[in-house]
Amino acid sequence: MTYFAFFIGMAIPTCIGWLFVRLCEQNQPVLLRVERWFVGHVLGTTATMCVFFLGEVLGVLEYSMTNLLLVSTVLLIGLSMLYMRLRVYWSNTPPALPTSAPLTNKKKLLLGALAAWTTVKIANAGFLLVASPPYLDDVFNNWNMRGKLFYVTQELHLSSEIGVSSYPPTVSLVKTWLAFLAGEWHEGLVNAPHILWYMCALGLLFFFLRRLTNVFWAGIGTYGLSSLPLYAVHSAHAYADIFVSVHVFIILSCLYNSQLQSAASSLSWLRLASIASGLLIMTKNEALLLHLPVCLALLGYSVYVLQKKNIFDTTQTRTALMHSGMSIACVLLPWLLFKWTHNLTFGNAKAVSGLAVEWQPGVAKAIWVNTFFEGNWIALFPLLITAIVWRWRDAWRGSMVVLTTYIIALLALQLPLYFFTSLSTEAIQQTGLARGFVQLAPVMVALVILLSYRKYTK
Amino acid sequence: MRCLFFYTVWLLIALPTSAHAATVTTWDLTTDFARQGWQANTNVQMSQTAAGIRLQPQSAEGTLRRVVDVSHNIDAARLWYSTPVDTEVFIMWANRNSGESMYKSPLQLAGGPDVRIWEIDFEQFDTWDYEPTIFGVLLPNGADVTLQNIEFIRYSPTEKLAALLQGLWQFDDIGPYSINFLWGPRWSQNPIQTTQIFWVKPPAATSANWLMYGVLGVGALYIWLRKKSVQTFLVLLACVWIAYDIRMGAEFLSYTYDDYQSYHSQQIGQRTFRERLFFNDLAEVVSPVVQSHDKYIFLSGERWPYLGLIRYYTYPSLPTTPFDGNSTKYPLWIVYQRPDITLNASQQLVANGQVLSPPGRMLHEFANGSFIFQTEL
Repeated sequence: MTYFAFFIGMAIPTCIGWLFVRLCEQNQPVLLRVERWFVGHVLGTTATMCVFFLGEVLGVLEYSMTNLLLVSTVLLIGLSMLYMRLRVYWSNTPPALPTSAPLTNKKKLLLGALAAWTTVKIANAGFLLVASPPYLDDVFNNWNMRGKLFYVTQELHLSSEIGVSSYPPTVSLVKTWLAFLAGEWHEGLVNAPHILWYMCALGLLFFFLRRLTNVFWAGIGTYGLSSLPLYAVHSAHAYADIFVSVHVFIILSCLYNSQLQSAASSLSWLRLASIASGLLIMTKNEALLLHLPVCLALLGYSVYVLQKKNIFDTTQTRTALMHSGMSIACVLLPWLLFKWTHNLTFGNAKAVSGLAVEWQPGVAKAIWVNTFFEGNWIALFPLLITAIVWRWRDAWRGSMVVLTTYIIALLALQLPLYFFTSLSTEAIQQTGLARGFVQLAPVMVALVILLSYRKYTK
Repeated sequence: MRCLFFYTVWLLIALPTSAHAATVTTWDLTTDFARQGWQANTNVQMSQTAAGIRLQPQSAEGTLRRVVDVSHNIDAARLWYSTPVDTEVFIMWANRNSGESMYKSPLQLAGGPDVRIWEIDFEQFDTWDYEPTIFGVLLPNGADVTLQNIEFIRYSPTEKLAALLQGLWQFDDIGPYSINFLWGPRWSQNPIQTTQIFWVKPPAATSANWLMYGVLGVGALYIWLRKKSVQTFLVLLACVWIAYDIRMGAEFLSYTYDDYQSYHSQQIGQRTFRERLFFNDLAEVVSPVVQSHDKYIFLSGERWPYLGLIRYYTYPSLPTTPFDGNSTKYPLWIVYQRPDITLNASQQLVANGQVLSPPGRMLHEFANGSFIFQTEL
């Protein structure tokens, strides 16, 4: 029953997501078939839980197992019918990947060995995730605790003292959904989706790099992400930072790709980026405060560049902005309204209101040690800095500016919070600093690989 | 590059044999040496036995120290001792810069009839300058410690190199902090430090990332000077990266291996889960027991993580404290690792002579200080 619940519990939101994504692409499919399943799984999970949440807070859908099943089935059937109706008129040809020269035997051997090693580590992460008793604080005090609260009480307690109620309920609700389907609270079952999100991050990075490089470099980049020790540890525990990282990566990769193609494709990419930006809000609190403003700025920048290059005319610009605004507002406004009406805080570890601004000693050393002299990132940060400085022209040219700006803007927003507010404890005690970097890891790896590839192929 | 490697290996092989072995100076405290040059303060009753010097501070803590007349630098030491009960002592040392004051560091001596060895890595201390002028021990009042032997060790360069390589492969255990950061490989300075790297947090040894940056830096310089291609550097980078990944990946796999050994492969009742020991099994057992109660009283040696963890296991039944009249309101008590809480003659729970609960009965005892208790309300 547990396996069945997992299969059904993951399949329904994934299919909803697939249909949702395909409908967003409209007449111009831009995602590869496999890629669409990855994006569909991540966005579909968040979107389905978001619908459950909106149904409850708007009072149109009483929270119960029957209603959750009903809503998801209606969504699935409704979207399927819509898709079946529209696919007749739409192009269904997936985009072609650039050709990649056949790999030499040495490269095949290297990639094969790295893939085998990565598979071993993923299996290990899956075992730790599914077979271990609850161990880490945010698991038993927040994510799983809230899920169990929703499951046991059969009510969506969105402002309870149990768990961090100011967080969006998505991750906890996924667990409740699976427990409902299984008919019991099973620790392994409710933790299992986390390993899928990790695999989605690896898969999406591979296909993103594959569009822009060749199989070898895409494989190396994917291995690079999987080899980051702290990212791997997160894959083995029921925390939500990898979930945030996949959403962030979907947004950034869509914005990147929107700059490379025709007006119709760019519109498709921008719609996907907008929808992912809206759903990003429902992952964690810092998504709203740190990630969303930068995403919105980059979305605006992307539309501006497309218009300036005469790829978009005025109508297309207006359409892109309207789609983006609506997609984000659909999630942002109800969530903000809900937060204000329930007096919920906006911060992550602490409420952001009332933070005194004062220089915090010890932060610089903590960041220095955590980033460069612990086993969290291998040599990612020195490589990232070197790549940006050494290839600074490439880093700020064309689509690459999206990735570079994002990383620098996020660091510029995050680091002052540690240096000048009482959130410094998160850096000094190393409780929050590196987890912020986990959310950026796929983007960082992508940037390093693309900058290196450009140099290597010149 | 090949030549450099060849000459390095040749140099190591050609080193004199003495360079491969540690230099050791032994203070044998079972011989006459014990009576020479030691200074004990008046609190310490010091007696010579066949097993060594027996030290028994009487009315206050006591110290015993001696001038160090060792002809070589000191990296580490081994201490042979025996003590009937677990005892925390301090080792003390002075150097030429410390003046009258002495540096101290605690040692946890394990009690028992056997002679045990404690290995001390001096290189972990910032204040250690390899040439101590005075060495000694500080014992708490009431301690009974017999010192049999002290060895002062200077390791050879080859032993230090071997320790460095072995140290890179020492793994940390998974802990509550592992979700936030991982210590990573450490650069061990001597064989004793290698075995003790993760005994203290932060680890005793320096980050081995210096080594990684060094290799990449030297490689980059070499490639730049020899005008080699970027590809050469990328190959070097890939080698270093994969080596690091294998090290960290092996640590990641070791988490599962350790869990398997201590938890998954053991029977319920014998298994332990990381530093939480048998708490998870206790929580699983008590969970159905408390389900008929809205609240129950929970006491543990440490509040975090056990309070949150048991709440998660037993929800919707909630744990609470025995204060504010709760002890007479809620009949069910779950106690974990509180050996100070016992039953008195009236069948009440007491701690340090203070009555905690109304009379009741023990429903189940998991271990000393860990039990389910129900009061007669």
